[in-house]
Amino acid sequence: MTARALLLVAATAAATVAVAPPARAQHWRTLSSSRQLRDSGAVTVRIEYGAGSIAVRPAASALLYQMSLKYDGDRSEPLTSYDSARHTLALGIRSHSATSGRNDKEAGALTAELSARVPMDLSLELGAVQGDLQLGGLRLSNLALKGGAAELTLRFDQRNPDRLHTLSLDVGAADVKIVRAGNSGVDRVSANIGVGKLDLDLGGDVTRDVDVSANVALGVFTLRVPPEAGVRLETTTFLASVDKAGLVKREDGAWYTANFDSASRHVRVRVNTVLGGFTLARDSR
Amino acid sequence: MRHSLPRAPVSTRTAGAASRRIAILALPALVALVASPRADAQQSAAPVSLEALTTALAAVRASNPGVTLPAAAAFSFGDATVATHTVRPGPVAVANGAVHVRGTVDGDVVAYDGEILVHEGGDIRGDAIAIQGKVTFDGGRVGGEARSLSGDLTTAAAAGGRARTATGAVASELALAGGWIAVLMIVGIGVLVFASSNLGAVAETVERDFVRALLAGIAAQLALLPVLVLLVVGLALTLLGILLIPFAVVAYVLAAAGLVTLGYLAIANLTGRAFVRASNTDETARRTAALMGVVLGLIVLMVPWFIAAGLAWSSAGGLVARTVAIAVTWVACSAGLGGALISRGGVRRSVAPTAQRAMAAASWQTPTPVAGVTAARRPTPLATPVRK
Repeated sequence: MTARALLLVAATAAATVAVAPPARAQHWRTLSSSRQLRDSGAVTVRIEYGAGSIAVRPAASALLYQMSLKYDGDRSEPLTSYDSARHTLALGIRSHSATSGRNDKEAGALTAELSARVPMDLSLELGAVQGDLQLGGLRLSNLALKGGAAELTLRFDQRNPDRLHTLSLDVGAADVKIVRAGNSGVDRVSANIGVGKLDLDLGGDVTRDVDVSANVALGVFTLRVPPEAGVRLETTTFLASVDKAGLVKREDGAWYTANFDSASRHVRVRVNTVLGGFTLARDSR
Repeated sequence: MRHSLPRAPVSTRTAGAASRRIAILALPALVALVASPRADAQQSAAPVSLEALTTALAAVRASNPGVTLPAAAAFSFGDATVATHTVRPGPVAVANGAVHVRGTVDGDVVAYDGEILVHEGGDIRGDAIAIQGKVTFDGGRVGGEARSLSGDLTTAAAAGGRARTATGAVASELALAGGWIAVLMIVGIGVLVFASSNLGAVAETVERDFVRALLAGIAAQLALLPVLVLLVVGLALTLLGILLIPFAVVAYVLAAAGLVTLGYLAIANLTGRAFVRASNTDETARRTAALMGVVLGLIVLMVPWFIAAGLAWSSAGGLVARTVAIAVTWVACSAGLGGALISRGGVRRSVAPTAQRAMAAASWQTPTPVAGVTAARRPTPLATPVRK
């Protein structure tokens, strides 16, 4: 390589370094946002949060919501919008940078308190977040969770006064644990699991039959059912492991627990899995 | 509670000079705000000039795109009270003081460095926005959102790309283009060192028939996905091949990316050779010329991207320049991919059709008799008997 070529390459590299933006400092901001409850109409709530820690719980006061945010103003901006005509509420943070807050020394945080007085369709779109979501006591009609790489625990410590028609879980590479989901009064659970883990505990006060359908790619799905509930299991597997201990195969090709016919509540499970794993546990919390 | 003054914007290049200017201008205004004695809301005497307050609010507004602030003229300084049973049109804007709402405000209430207290009977029909302060419900109601914003609010170039200044946008785009050219040069040098003959073969193939290479590249792009699907289906049909699907997909993508890169570098080499005189005799000079060709070619191919980066401040100009850059890059990648495919990744050197025709011509095919060729002898008087 001639001196001229070397000089050219070096100049290009130097120019690249010169115009490259330096590492930006973080500008942490806090935002407290709330809205008073105006009526008892059903609300559709969407929470978006990319990275950091999150907590969701029922609001104690007469507010539609109360949100506290700590965020880096350079990388993200808060999302608070309410359409009073459509009764739709969007909360959270929209990130402008792909940088995850989890690797930063100081991470962002979101705490949202939602009204327990109005029926609600709740949608959670979460990225690389860690959190504990106490959803017990909320009047949930539908609940959808998309957790890309989240580490989440959803708790239903109190009963849902309403009927949760659908619990939709999209677990990409996330690790999601749902505790005492029986208290949510759920009718139907639909889960898609990529390479993550889903631990669904149907413990609590199971008041009605529950249909559970799950597509498991490479992940692991653990379903915990109270011992008193009867279980019917249908599986379609390929190179996957499904633990059917304690189940008996009947003529229709499905697997049943011994108490299925006598049980007052039933859980019907349909699992499709390729290279994934499914475990049915009778030890709900 | 008094908060520290907003500092001058952090000196990131992306923040831009305009933002810095705004914040510098804002500083005296905010100093005046904090230093001013509290006055009743009804007093109209402002401790700072309207111009300075406008500049200060602009700084806050720029760093918080979600906040709608009234104009500086709408602000009063010191504590303010909306009396019981009164209706005031909004916005009610106060700096350096608390707003006590006991009546009705038909609109927003905004407090800068102060608190908004909504007392019993108080009604804010719009939003209650407290910057560097808080909103306190004391029995009253807020029809809109109650928002308290605090922390470091001084960065004008906040909220990612949306509020980027023109200078910041240009710097960011230039850095991106510079980064790409640096990466491509490193890859190009690697290819020249380890796969120089492949690069040369691909470049020759493209040079020989550019249109054919371009069409082949376009066809390859259209076939990329169907071929991948066929590959996956084929592996799935073999059952055992299912386990290989993830590896096959990754290998396929890597191979495609490698061919595109090789082709693009070949195009760069071809372009750069127009500016460099190659020597056929000296090996060192030939290698240097090849390197210079790749480097100059990459620079030429990246020029549209640098122009687009330079026009990032202009939405229309930037869009046009970016479209041109994308088109140039796409053509280069397509033709390069076609050349790489035709030459089998530079393994097969195609021969020029004219050369093929010349080699096939009958004039070259001089048959040699099996018995050999008798050398012709020049007739000489001595050797040739004279018949009489």
